[in-house]
Amino acid sequence: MRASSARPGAPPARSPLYSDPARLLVTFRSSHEVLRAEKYLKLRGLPVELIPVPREITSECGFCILTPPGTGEAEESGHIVAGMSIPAIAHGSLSGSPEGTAIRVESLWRVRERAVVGRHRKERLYERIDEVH
Amino acid sequence: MSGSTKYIDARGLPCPRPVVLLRDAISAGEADILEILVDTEAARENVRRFAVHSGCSILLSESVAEAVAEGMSHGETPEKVIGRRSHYRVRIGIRTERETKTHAESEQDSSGGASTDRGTVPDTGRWGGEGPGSATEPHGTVLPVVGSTVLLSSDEMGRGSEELGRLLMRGFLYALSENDIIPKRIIAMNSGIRLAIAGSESLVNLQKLAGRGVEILVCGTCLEYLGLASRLAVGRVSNMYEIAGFLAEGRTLSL
Repeated sequence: MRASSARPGAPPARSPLYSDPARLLVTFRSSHEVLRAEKYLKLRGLPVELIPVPREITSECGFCILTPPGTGEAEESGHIVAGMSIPAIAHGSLSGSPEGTAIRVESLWRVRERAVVGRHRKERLYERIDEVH
Repeated sequence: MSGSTKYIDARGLPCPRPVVLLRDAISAGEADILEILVDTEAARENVRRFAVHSGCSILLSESVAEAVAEGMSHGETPEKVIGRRSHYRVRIGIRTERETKTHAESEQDSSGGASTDRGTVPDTGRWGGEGPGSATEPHGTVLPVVGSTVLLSSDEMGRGSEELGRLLMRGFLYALSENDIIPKRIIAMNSGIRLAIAGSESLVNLQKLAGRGVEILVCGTCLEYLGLASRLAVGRVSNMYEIAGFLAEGRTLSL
């Protein structure tokens, strides 16, 4: 269903070519959960974007959460987003969500991007960083 | 089929014949290049404007002077030149695909206009052509899809579930803002105007589209009725006459 491994040729932790502050992209198992996750994260003060899942990740329709630039930088163990550590998000659940039940994360990606002169759309690289099942 | 040229001699024909001939030739689609001759400045301007409005590029627009002599017949050498007259030649490139490129993109696109994600249509800049609106525009012009309108008559895409509809509309506007080809204008009516007001989750994508040259028109009656006039955050207020005019042009995607 979705890509289950890091993209081949994924760059090292800080590629000089993709120097914009990295973001995180989080997918969920259903559109209902992504909507709840957006509400939850915004309540916790994180201005996330809700966007269609990029074609690099899936060919199916779906929506995902994209975190602001700069939240994808830290070493995996140290990712802190809106007071939650990313491993906790990736491996566990977002407890305390508005409806009280946990929202389970399906996959977590680091997104590197760079503006390309003369093009309106940024170039993006996606690297899966949660545990591969 | 690249490079075939059709010649139209419209000299001496009264207005609007030159434009009619041009229009018929464009829709016949037999050639990639049309070269039309007219003999008045007014006809040249009408032809130029029509071609540009139809999404064609002007490859050449020049006046040609020729001598008119007395006594010319059947190959005899003219004895006396009695004057000069000029006519105008306009060479028009028919575009097979509509693209959007900004000035910067045309200037700096290193692939030279034939990159894979835009097919093989050469860009206006390389032909030295002229985009809409200016005879002296440098290479590279903002070229929205000619006449193409997106009508947003709701802030939801489809019916059945409000929450799903709003989610889909958000996704659509995001994807559209990233698309290479974009509409010339977006018209927002009824609950569609909510997308264009302060606090809208689609505002940033509409602003991005506006930045790329898409005209955003928002129905004034709708703003007033829904009490949102003071919160319009992108585009400008329009009225039903203008909106009806654009919709009547056709080429509208209605959501």
